[in-house]
Formats: sequence, structure tokens, C-alpha cells
Amino acid sequence: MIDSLAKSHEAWIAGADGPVQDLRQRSMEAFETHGLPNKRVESWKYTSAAKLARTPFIHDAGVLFEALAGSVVGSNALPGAAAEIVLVNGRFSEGLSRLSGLPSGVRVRSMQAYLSEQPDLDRLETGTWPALPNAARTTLGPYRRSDSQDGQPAAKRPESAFHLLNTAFLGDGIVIEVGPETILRDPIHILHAMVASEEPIAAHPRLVIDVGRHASVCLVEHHVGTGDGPTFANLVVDARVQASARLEHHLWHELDDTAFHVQHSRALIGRDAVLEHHVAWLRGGWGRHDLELRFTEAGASATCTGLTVADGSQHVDHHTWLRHEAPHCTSRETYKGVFAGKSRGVFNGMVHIANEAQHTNAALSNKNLLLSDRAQVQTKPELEIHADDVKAAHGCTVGQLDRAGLDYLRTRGIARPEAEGIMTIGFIIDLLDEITNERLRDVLEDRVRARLNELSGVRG
Amino acid sequence: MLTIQDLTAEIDGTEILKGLSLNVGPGEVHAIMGPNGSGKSTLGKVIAGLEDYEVTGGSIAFEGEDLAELSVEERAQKGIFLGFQYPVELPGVSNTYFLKTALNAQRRARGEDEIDSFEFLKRLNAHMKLLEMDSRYKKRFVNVGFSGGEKKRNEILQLLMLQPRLAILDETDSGLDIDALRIVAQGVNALRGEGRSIVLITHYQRLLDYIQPDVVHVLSEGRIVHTGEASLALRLEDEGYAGILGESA
Repeated sequence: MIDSLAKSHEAWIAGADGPVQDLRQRSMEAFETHGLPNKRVESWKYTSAAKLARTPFIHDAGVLFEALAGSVVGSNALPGAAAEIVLVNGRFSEGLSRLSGLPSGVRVRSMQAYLSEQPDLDRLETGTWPALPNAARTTLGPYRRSDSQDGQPAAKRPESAFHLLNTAFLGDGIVIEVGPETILRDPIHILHAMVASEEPIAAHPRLVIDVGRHASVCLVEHHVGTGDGPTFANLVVDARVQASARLEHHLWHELDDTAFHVQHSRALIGRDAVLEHHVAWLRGGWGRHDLELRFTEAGASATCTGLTVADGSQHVDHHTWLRHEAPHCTSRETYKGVFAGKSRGVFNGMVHIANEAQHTNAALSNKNLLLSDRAQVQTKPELEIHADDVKAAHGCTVGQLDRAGLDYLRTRGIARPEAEGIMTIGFIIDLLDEITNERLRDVLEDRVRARLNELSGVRG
Repeated sequence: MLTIQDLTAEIDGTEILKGLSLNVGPGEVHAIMGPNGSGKSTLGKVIAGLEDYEVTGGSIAFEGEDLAELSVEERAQKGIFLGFQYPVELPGVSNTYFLKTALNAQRRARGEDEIDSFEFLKRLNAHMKLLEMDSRYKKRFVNVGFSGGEKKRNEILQLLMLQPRLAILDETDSGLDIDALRIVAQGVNALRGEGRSIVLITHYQRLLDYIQPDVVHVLSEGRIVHTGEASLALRLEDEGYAGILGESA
């Protein structure tokens, strides 16, 4: 993959120059030096990138598969969405998107358009945002843990291979800016359609979301696939939730079993701001999601849920890093996984509470249900607490369906497969109830039920 | 209705039922009493078909059909209901959803249409009223956080909603205060008649003050050792199991 992508990259950037080109070139060189993570790296211990590395992915250098994407786009449209944004293999498709319903306070541009204007390249490279009020210049580093000293978060750490690769292919994606006090109730639907072709296609879209003070917005990022053959999407999503703003961010995965997916989602949460982050990983092949949240000012809060339903040889890895850096912030993180077939799950949840983050209230939980003897889960919650007056709780479980419960349902005439389905839904239903937007909750519940109905079952 | 002949059953190699025979006719209420460890609960679970127990001999027939090859759910679909001594908690499964799913699963198995939602709610409300259950129990997860008495009442609610042909109630009276006992008995009595049979498994006589049995059996060491009329239960209360068992030995 490295060779094929390096070749693609060379061809793609040839003949142009300028600061964006420099950034791409620099990032590609750094990526090639860095290489893909291997299992000796602690945070990649249970997730092997070997199969990804063996697949000769090329960058989709501008062939838009819009015609092919059309059907998958139509069938996945979100009813009631304020706008439909469609990216096909990482590229913004104007023809398939619908932006007309957005209020004037919401500005949506393609990353390509943004790059042609006056892009903040420093931000794109390092995740640096202009200073929030009452805070120093704030930097979001790529995922890395245990790099803090005396409770101080590390600064710039541009060393995640996938992150570098995304920057190397910085070319398209979406920039969403929500002006101060703009309230948008209906969700913005961002549909990422990966269309496979004869050659393995890679996409590296970048999303930037900036929610102004006292503004409120809901995004549904939805990953779907079509066509035969492997695809690789490698995303970076940077969000900022300014003072007293609210961002509800949903991430739905319904990719094909030949899809590779890597995503680094980061957010800065400002004073009294609220982030709701809900991941539902329902289908796909091999995937890794890194969620990194920084509570940069007092009163920031986040509710994060993650739901994984995996079957066959699916591999889903969630790494979360909640960085409490200011006092009186709250985080509640609940991840649950249902694993059938010979699927694999990895969960690693780090909650870091810096010494100035007094009165933090943080709860982290990861619960897993194994429906098959061949499914496996590795789970590890971690707390790193430097402040002395905080409330923090964590826990994780791995178990099977309760036999007594199954028997009970069966004595009421419910056949075993249906009984298993009822108990599995029962296991995850409280996660759905964390979603405050009832319409989205219901849409998701339908999709989750449909997925659970196809699982290979307990004996799988 | 229910014909059991020379039934033997074991769990993990330990024989619990040792040649038990029992006949329950349509519309009859039988009480099965006996000391702890006599095999009362095992009998209920074996009739329901729970797989923890292995039937090693004898037969169970329900309405003339041998049950040996039928699964737990198939027996339930044919109209056998087991009220649990310790009802199981089902986190994340609402009571209403559970009842409706069970009822419809049974109806489908019998080739009937699924129940109309309005009709379902009408019945649910009526039965809950009879059992003096607050309507919040509709939305609550099955048995989760219920007190012992609430769980038993919830068993009777299922009984009334599912309207089985044969109800086996395993120590439904245990853990109930006198008011709850009266309410539970009211629920069971509401099911009586129309050819429905009831087997009450109980340790104490007091439930039988509220539900008058037609026949009382005494179970000891995996066999029925004594069968009599309702007055047998009163004698048991007076003389204790030791007295009755001493006589039969």
C-alpha cells in the first residue's frame, strides 16, 4: 500500500507548487519515514494493519463515481435532513448534494473550495485552532497517550501515520461553519459513499466543523459502500464547539465487509459547551476509530456512546482519549459491542484528568456481548488522574447471553433465535436512549435491529 | 390434559424424579406439596422442557401428545405455562414488548393472526387492574428492580395474558405478604374453568386458603406418595410432612 500510494501521490501533486503542495509533500515524506503502525506499538497491539499494507491502494485522482454512487446515495438519504452532503470516494459531489435548505448562519464548503481560498494550513496540519477565549492557543495532537508531564497535555505531536497520510492527500472533504447563535434543529447528513472499482481505491477526506458560541447543530456522518473490491477511507475530522454551543455528532458505519476504515475524530469543547458523540459501527470490514476530546474550558461536557455490531471476520477497534484540562467538566462515555461469528473487537478508553481539572466528573464504561465462541474482545479502560478532587469511574465487562433469560423467554413461547435477538437488543437499548434526538434515535434503532437480525447467532 | 407416567429425571447425574406418575384432568386444580428437596420444582421444569434436566425414563403427555421431542418454546406454544419460583430479570426488555412478543409468537405458532394492538392494550389494562399493578410496570424492564412480590404478580400477569391450557405455578406464594397473596390468588382464580388446568407447587398450605384445589398430592423423594382431597393440605398443616410421610412409609 505504501508504494502504490506513494506513486499515486507523486503523480497527483506533480507540476504544481505552493504552500498546500509543500504541506502534502512534507506529510508524505513523514508518512513514508514513519511507516504503518505495527503490533509492537501499544495502541496497535490488537489491531494489525498487515492486510491493509498488502493491498495496493491507489488514490482516486479525480475520477468521480457519481453514477455508481447514485443508487446507494438515494437509498440512504436521511428523511428530514436540513442538508444532504455527499462525498464519493472522499470527494465532494455537488451534483448529489443538496445544500439549499440551510439557514444563512450555516456555511458549508468543500475542502477543495476552502483550500483554494485562504486555508489555515497550520490548523489543517496540526489541528491548531485560533485561541478560544480564556485559553491559550489550543492544539489537538494526533492520537497519543502517556505523553503528558505533571498533568500537562503534550503539545504538537504530528506522528500518527494515518493522520500524516490524510494530510499528504489533503484535497477534499467538507468545511462546516456554524455562526454564533445559529440554531439548526434538523440534522445535516454527510454521506460518505465508497465506490469500489477494479483497482483498490483509497480516499482521504478531511472534515472541519466549527460551531460558534451559543450555536447548535446536529451532524450525521454516514459511511456506506457499493461495488465489489476493497476500499480504504482514511479520515480526519476536526471539530470545535465554542462557548455555550452544542454539537451533536453521529457517526454511522455501514460499509461492505471488504472496506478498510480509519478515522481520527477530534474535538475541542469550550466553556459550558456540550458535545454529544454517538458512533454506531454496524457493518464493515476492518476499522479503527480514534476519538479525542479536549475539555479546554470550565463547564464543558460530553456524552459519548459507541455501539459496535460485528459478524464474520469484521474487526472494529475503538480508541478514545478524553482529555480533561479545565475544572467542572463532565464526561460520560458508554461503549457497547455485540460480536458474532469470528469478529474481533478492541476497546481502549483513556480518561486523562489534568491537575487543574478539579471537580471533573467522568464515567467510562465498556460492555461486550459475545454471541459466538470464536468472537473475541480486548477491552481496557484507563484513568490517569492528576487532580485531587474529582469523581471518576470506569469499568468493563465481556460476557455471553444469560442462559436463564433465554430459557425464561422460551418458556413463554418465544423461539430461541428470537429470544436471542430480544436479549441482544435489550443489551444495547440503553445506548440508543442516550441519543436525545428522537427521530435519529428511531432511524438508528431500525438500522440496528435490521443488522442484529442478520447476525449468525449464538452458535455462529 | 396432563398424563405423567413413571417419570425419572436427573440433573448433573443426580436423580431427582424417581418414577413419578400424575394425572391432571381438564379444568382441575392440583396442588403438589412436599418438603424441600422432594423434587417439586424439578417437576415443573421438566414439564416445561428446560434442558438442565435430563429425562431418563417414563413419559409426559399433554392433551394426548408425547412431549419428549418438543422444545421449551414448542411446549409453551401448545399452551403449557410455567410460573417461575424466581422470575428472571430481562434488562432492556420492556414488559409490554415482552408480553406482546410472547403472545404473538404463540399465536403465530398456532396459525392465528397477531393480536391487534388496541385489543392487546385493552386486555393488558384489564389484567393489570385485576392484579392492582401500576401502569408504570408496562414500560419497565421485565422484573428488573421488582420486589419479590412484584415479580410474582408479573408472573400472574403473563399467565393471564397468555391464557395457557395448563399452568404450573412453582411456589408462586413464596415471598408474598397477605395482600399480595390475595391478589395473586385472584389472578389465578380468574383463569380457572373453561377446561384450563392448574398445578400449584407449594410448600405451605396458605395459598390453598385462597385457591381451592381439587386434588392434593404429596411429593417425597421424587415420587408422589399421597393423593387426597383438599383436606389433605389441612392435615399436612397440622401434622407436618413428617406425620404424613411416616404414615405412607
